Amino acid sequence: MTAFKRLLLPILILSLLLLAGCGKKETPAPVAPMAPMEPSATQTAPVIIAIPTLSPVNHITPLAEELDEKQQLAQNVAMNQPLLQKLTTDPKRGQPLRAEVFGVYPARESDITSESEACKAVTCYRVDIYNWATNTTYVVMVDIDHQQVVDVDAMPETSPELPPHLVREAMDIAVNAPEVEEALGFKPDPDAPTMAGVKTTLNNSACELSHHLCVAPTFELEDKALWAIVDLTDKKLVAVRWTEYGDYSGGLPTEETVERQDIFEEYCRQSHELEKDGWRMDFILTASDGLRLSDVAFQGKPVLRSVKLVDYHVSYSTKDQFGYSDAIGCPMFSSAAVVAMSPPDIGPITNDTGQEVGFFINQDFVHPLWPQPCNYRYNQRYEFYKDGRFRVMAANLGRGCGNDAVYRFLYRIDPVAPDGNGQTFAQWDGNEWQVWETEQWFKEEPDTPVTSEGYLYRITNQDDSGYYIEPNRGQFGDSSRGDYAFTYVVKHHPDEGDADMLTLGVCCNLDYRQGPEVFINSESIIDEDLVIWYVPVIENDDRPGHEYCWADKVVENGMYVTKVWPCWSGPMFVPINKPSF
Amino acid sequence: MGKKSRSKKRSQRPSPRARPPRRLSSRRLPALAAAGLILLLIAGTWAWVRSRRDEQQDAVAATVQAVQAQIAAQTASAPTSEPTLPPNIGPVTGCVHRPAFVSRLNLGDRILIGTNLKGYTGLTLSAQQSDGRVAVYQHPTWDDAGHLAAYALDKDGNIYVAPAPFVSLENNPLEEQNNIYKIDTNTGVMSLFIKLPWAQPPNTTNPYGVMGLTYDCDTHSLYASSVAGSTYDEEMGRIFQIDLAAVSIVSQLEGIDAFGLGVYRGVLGKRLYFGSARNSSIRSVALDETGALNAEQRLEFRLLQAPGGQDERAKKIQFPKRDEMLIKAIQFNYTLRAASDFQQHNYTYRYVPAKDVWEFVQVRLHSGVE
Repeated sequence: MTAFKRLLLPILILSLLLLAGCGKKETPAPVAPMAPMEPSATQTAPVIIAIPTLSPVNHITPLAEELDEKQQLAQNVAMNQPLLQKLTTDPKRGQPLRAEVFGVYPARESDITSESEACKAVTCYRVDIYNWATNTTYVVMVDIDHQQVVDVDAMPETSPELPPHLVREAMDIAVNAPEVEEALGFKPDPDAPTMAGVKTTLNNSACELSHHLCVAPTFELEDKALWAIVDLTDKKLVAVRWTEYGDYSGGLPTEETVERQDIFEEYCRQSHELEKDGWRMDFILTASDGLRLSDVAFQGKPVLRSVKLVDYHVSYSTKDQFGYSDAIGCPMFSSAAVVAMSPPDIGPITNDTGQEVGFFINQDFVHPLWPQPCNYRYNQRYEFYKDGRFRVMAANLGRGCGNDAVYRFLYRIDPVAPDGNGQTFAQWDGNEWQVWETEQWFKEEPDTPVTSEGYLYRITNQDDSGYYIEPNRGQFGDSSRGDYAFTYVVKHHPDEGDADMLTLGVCCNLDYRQGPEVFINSESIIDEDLVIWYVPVIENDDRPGHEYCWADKVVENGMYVTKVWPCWSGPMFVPINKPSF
Repeated sequence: MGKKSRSKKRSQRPSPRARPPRRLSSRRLPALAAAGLILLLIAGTWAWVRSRRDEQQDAVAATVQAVQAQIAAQTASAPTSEPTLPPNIGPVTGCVHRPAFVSRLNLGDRILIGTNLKGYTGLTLSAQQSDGRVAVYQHPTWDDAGHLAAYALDKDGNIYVAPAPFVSLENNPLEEQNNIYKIDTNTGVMSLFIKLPWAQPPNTTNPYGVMGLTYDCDTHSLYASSVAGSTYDEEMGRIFQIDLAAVSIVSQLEGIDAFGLGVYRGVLGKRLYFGSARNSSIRSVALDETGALNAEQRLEFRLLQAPGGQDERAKKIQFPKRDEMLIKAIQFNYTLRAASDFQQHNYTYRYVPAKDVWEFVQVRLHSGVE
């Protein structure tokens, strides 16, 4: 037998074995669900991945961490996606917004939604992109097999998990904040071995008011923890708060909860005394009448029993009887709709030469979503001058529900005579002062006569001292267009507004029926204890270049900033016997 | 025997399958073997190629089947896993009926009950029409109590609704905020149903009364939460069980400021779930067979501690599926609501019968009027 013959049998066997594969194959039995494979885990041979270059129009900041090729590929595909560029661009002005990749991960099963179901059959990566300007997270599912975006899920008011460099930055801000050092009693250093008794963790927190990205590096001591709320958008510490360890029955500390509680505790539950420039007064935040001053005196002589702002009425002229009565007041446990989210601001007033001539107290009231439509912001301001003048002020800072708004602010001013006796109210008629004998109201118009100094009313004590009242016609340098207010003078009755008042009047009357008219019943007001209600009437304006009582958002450095055109109102009270200084 | 048999076979007419082997001459064998080998190799190669193609197709089929199986498995484990739930587990509002008077309104089938439709004070019914317009109906009595908020339907289609101030107190006098009104299923007329007792009357530092309402078909009970009289320092709210047939309060809890309410029957019995009005916690109390409230509270979870959760209050607690809890949460600080659309987060939790607990599924932002 030749060698060939000896090989014949194995060749035939081999051929038969090969032929065995020619038969009809049975349909495989259903297989059990397979867990998604880690794309790189089964890769044995090196694969060269062509990573697309970033589009020249890209303005999204890539992740500042080291990425492998697949992560790099997924990130670039996501950033090149025109939709992502569009979502991170201001739709009105086309300006790019600040946006950054926070994370790139192989997609987990839990990441796959009905919209990204295609990822069950291909290799997908999840790319988290954060829009700093709008506080929005975009979860981008990228099919890296085909280098295409499968789905983009926008999640407003949320932030993704922080990349390591932002974790470090948050820790640094907290550790170096004087407020943290003061609260702890020592300067913390979470990396130092000497800090054995202090554990530092990074908790989630929120800045609901600023809509910024906030986290809370937390210093955990034996039985309590100090939360340092850090605003990573503005890169600053915004609040610190101690909590009993593990007890969050009062809610986890966030910017808003801390602000609300601090303001409530400090300014709603107790009044503060202020003495400055010859003036003294008490002030407190009320439940619905704004910042109320009481027992106001100048150089030891009583001037006001109290002064406050009871309501803001706003109506929209194109919609009959459509509008609101907004009360301002405390941020918790109040009947206010627009609340104080910051403490009263007290500061100096300077004249044109920079000389300090008095001081102001300003209180801001804001709705958290301002300046979005139908959100409001109001300011109450009191100015006290060294020469005895004072001005009671209020403003709307937009933006409201429309560009056809008519605002009316309800000031309640309760003057008091230094001698405790009565007072008399008079109006300038163009020639002389006409005394108001009984309770009444008057609506100022542009042609209403005022004195050469601009005084329209006068309130006098029995010794002829007192105050002239100079209505706002835009002469006070605050860009105001004038008040043209309703003025009501009534006899003082404690039950007509000494206490916190509920909603007074209705929102949408444009005539004298603003609420205080209900206190007018022909009582004599000569030499009586008087109360003055002053109600300016102000129309808003959104015309470019003419904005008034308005607010809008503009893009600066990739972030939205709010531009405000306030409409200030309020009369100046000028002492009749003005002392010279 | 063998030979005989063999020869016999040879004499037979050959059949195609039993073709007798030809005797090969030793000289021709190498050439024939080479040709056969070539043929075998060609056939084998063709067979191997075909086999590989089939394997690939089968692999694709198997992958598709695997994906389908995965989808099926996911679907089975998704919130619709009702078949795996023990019987009798789930919400207790299956009996609620649409109001009888609605059939006379010709609004259509998909009618929405609303208490904060822009431009309206009080309750409204709205329905999208075939031409895209939204038809709104409001009975003249439905704005008599000012702005309204919480509502619940019963098995007969009666609507129970509670007032709540909106922006101002202009239409909502403080002393009426602890009332519950009833809209009759037959007439559609709204009238005062019951005045709930308060620990202290509402005031300017807390203008709220009734916050939440929910109905239990099993006992024909209405549950109501009220924060009337609560202050920053003192939690003085109450939760009431109201016997709708007797129009009377049959059990109540003290010292709880609760917002949204919902009754659910779990593996260990029925519980009333409620969201705290003071923090983001969801708590529950057991209900006995009469629906009476047990005083012992159980903390279920806190919305703020969910991934993406906020420091919000559960305004509504609903059970859209047998094992699913949907919580609609908003900010609430005992101040009046502003005129704007509010931001609401919808939290989904899934019931785990084995542990009698709720596990977090997701949270989604929902902007606009609810």
